[in-house]
Amino acid sequence: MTATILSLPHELIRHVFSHIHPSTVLQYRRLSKSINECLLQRHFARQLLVRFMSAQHSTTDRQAVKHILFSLDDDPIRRDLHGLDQLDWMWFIWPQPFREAYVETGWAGTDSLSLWIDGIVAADASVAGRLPSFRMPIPSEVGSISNLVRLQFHGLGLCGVIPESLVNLELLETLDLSHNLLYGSIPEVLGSLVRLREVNLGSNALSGRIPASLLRNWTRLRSLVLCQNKLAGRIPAATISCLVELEVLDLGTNQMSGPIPSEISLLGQLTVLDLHGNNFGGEIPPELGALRHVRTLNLSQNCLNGNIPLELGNLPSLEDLVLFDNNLSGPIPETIGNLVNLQQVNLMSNNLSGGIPRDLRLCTRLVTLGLAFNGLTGPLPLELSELPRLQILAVNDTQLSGTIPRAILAMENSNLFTFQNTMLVY
Amino acid sequence: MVRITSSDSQEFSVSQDIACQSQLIKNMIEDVGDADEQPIPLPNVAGAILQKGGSCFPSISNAPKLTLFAVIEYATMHKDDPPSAPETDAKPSTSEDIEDRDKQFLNVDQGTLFEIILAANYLDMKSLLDVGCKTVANMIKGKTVEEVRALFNIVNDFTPEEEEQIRKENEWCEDR
Repeated sequence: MTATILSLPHELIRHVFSHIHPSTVLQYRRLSKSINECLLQRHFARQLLVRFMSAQHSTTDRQAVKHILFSLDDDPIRRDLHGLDQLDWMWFIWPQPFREAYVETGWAGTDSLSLWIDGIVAADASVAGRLPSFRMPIPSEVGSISNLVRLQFHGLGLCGVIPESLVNLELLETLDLSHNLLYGSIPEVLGSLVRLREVNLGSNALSGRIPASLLRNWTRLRSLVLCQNKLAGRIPAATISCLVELEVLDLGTNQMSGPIPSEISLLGQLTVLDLHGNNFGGEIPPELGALRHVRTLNLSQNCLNGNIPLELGNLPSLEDLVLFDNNLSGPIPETIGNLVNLQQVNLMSNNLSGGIPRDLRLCTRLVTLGLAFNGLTGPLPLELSELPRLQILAVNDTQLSGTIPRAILAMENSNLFTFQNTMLVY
Repeated sequence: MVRITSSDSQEFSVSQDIACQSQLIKNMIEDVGDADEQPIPLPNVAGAILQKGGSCFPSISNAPKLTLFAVIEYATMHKDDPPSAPETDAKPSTSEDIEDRDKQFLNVDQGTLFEIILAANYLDMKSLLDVGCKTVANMIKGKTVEEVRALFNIVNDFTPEEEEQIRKENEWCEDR
């Protein structure tokens, strides 16, 4: 009887197919049951992947960082998807034995894994059609890439929940799963990743509360970005102060509520505090005036009421003061003149009353001054003309009155000055 | 010289360096000691008479040959090769790098090709095994599942549902 391909033992069938590229070989699972069995063996996956891995994937390169940027310029999609780096992409799609084998081969020893697609390009349907379908969950095998210090899956359209297996990445310092379609809650077990310094889960569909216990252990955290999700509940007041090294806290555009806890003022290293676009209520805690390093304070689009605390004048580093779309009342604190680094002040759409502080002239770096849609009264201070960089001055829909100083109308950098619906006259 | 016999009692005398390209024979010789005493039996290698065309040895091309004969032919062709470094993780070979003389040698009918691969596997001749498998891989590459089934007479033993399931799982790699 003549020999046929099926007279070969499994070992030799694996050998034959191990010469066919991983991007196409699995289509031959359909040939027959015995071949399907061969191609799904972990041993085969390993043999195949080792053969097709480029030098940069080799186990000796412990610094492997993978940045793959898709842009429209030189059609790198085709290039990358037919090059060796496509193995990284296929990891999300492969059957489990392949994923396991790739963790042991392609990513063995890798301490930094960074895969991302340019968001604008990924959103382009014609381009997306040529990318592998990333409407896939993050495979739980990610937890086996045990040397990872940095894990970044950004903009891949990954869906599903955040795998709890991440808890096995004990060395992890950076976790960036931003700009995906992840849902479910933030797994509480991630609290055991005590080395984390940066966490970015922004722009997903995560829901539930921020687990209080999570923050208790993340004492080394420098950046916590959870913006643009569906997170609800309060900021865990009792544990937020554990993040003593935190520099960036971005919870913007979620569905969180309750007060802004004064304990945030204990985060002495904070440079960015962004809580905008939630349902936070109550008053702005005057204690925030203790945040000596804060550069951006964005509490806009909430339900905050009460006065703007005078203490905010104690923030010498403040560059952006963004409080628009709240129910804040009372005057603009005179202490605003202490904030000599201010570039953007946006207090629009509140119930602020009183006059525009003349000391604003001391904020010589000011570029944007938005005071529109308030109950402000009095004149437009001539001193504003002393702000050399002012480009946007919005005081429309206020009770301001009097003549608009010629010096203001003559300002050099003016881009957008709005005076309508006031009692100001030219 | 080493004497070896095929499963159908054909006896060959080959020089030791040729015979020892087979790790199996090499180990046997080392175990037995003096190689001249008696022929080494290779009961697993090919009684089937094979028609091998396109040989680089014109005098014997198209002559009925034994698999063992073809394997010896290959070993003779490669007897002066430097000892091949073991394939490592760092430097894997691809199916694109088959030498012309090997391509010609393996330009045979399917039956012969698979017999040669089986013999190379049995005799533990790594380079021949590898080049044989690469040749089969090259026959598969670029073909659809249906074309490969036809080429190798593979019977589709899946139920339509099973096949559909795999097709679904493979959506990303079909028709690329």
